[in-house]
Amino acid sequence: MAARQRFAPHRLTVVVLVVGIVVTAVLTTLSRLNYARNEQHLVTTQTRLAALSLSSAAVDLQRRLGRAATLAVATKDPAEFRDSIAPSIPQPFAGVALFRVAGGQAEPITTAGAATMLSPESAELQQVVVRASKTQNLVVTHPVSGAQHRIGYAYSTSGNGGLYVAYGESPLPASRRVPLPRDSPFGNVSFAIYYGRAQTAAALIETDEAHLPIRGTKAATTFQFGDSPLTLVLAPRGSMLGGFAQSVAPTIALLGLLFTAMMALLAERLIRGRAMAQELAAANSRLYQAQRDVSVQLQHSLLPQRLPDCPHLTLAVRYLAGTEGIEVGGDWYDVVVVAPDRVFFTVGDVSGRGLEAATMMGALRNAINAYAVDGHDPATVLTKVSRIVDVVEGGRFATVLCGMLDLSTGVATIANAGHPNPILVGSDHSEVVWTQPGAPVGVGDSFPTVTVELTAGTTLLAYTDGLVERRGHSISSGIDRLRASARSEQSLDGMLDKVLSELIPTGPSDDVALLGLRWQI
Amino acid sequence: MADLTPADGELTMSVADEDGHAVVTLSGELDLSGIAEFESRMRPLMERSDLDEVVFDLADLGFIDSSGLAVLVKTAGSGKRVRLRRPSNLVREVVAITGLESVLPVEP
Repeated sequence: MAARQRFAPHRLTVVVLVVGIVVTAVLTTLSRLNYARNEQHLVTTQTRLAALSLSSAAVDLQRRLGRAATLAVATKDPAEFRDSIAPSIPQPFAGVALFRVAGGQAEPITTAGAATMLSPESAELQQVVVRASKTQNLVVTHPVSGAQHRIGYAYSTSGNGGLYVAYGESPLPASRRVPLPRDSPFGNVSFAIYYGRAQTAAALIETDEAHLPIRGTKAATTFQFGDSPLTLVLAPRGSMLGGFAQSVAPTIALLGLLFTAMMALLAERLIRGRAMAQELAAANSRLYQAQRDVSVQLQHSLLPQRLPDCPHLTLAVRYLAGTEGIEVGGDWYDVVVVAPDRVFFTVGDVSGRGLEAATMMGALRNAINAYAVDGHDPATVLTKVSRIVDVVEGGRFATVLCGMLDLSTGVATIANAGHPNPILVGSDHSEVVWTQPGAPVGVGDSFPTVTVELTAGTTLLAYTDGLVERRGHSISSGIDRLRASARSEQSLDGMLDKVLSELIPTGPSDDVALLGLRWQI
Repeated sequence: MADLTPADGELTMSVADEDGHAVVTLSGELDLSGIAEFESRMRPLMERSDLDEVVFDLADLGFIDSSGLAVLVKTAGSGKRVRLRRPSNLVREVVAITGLESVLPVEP
């Protein structure tokens, strides 16, 4: 076989590949979606938990401011306020201021710690303080930027003839970035906290991210911190569900592709295997045919190349090789002139097939002709050739029908060694010539002789068993069919063709030799 | 294997000893396709000196060709008495046409 020039996968292989890749892609996508959904769910839950925890911090700030202010109001001593707030400076407050509010005006009373970035007299802080005086809630300011970043808290206390508001400013880290320690409960997330609902740079309070806004899987929740809404954005660093969950989709993709590749390879192998088997079968069939052709050729070479041309006698022969097996068969026919008015005819069949059978056939044919030409009668010829065949030694015998036809009288002397009887086809009927066969050549050595007188125009048909033998049917029924098929009014060639086409329309399974002799005055 | 029904036409063969003679039971069809095995299994029987008779039970043999007959005849030629048991009409006819009735007699 010629080497393949390039790899050309079969169409089915491509289909297997495409289906495998599509299925893998769908499974991988579903897995990824599922992972993303679970991850999102987890981030959202954690964000809510974090917000809850953050909002509780307002209570601490409120408590610190409230306690200092209440003490100052009760003792009317600003120093009490400063003393009371001192532990809260510089953390959580960089600086604080105490105000009294009356008539919508905020009057600064005292300060502690660093100066507040919103000056106590500024309109902005005035607004904050007035706002705080009207609520029991902790007021939270928008982040303040200047030399530092800060965020302010204000809380009101009433008593002693007025409303007092404590205001503290908490420092925010430089550039508002604060790294979370890795071992904190939130070490596995990035976060950003904004004042209000909008996630803008100006509203940013704190983050641990260098680049905002946070991208990827994230969750945002807005929670109340004092009187103001804050927004917390969380995003996992890496996978919250863990490495295994994260690796499910890529694993499915990898295994899917591997499986697809294996199935495609398998399909290709099977397809190629079948193609190769078909090629082999075709090659076998060609070899078989070639060997059969050789057998048929050998067979024909062993048969007479031409038949004698005699007065008063028309001869026709047919030989068909059996369709079963490729070995050469052992059937033969022959006609030789042994005297000016006598011909010796033979139809025989060596049992079995193969070169050995063909060789025995050739030897028998030559010996029979030699004895016949020597002038021996058919029975004597058979007895003499019996010596060259031995069934015990060679495992083969030969059935032979031979006869001598006197062309001047039409009288045929026939001897039979285990061969099917010939038939005589007359103008209006046909009959079996009962020859009382002896045992085959190689088994017996004495052969009875019968004499048949041919009338003008009658035909003697001799044949081998392949013509009349059919599995499951008797040979006599085959001979009956032969008698019905053979009709004398046809030409001898026509008769033989008709017989063959009617008895073995699909060709013989075994070899068939057929000899017709038509005698005329 | 003995319990399996053979494919149609396939030859099956069994050999049994029956007081002093062997009984060879053949079923299916005996033609060229099975002849080699038949012959190789008959050879030891032909060579057995303690046997003087071989009976072929052919009740289930549907077909026999000349190569099959040749093995039966060879058995007879090897010095054993050969008898056919229960041959079908088709087998009887082939034996008769081949002129082997005296070499391969049917059991009485």
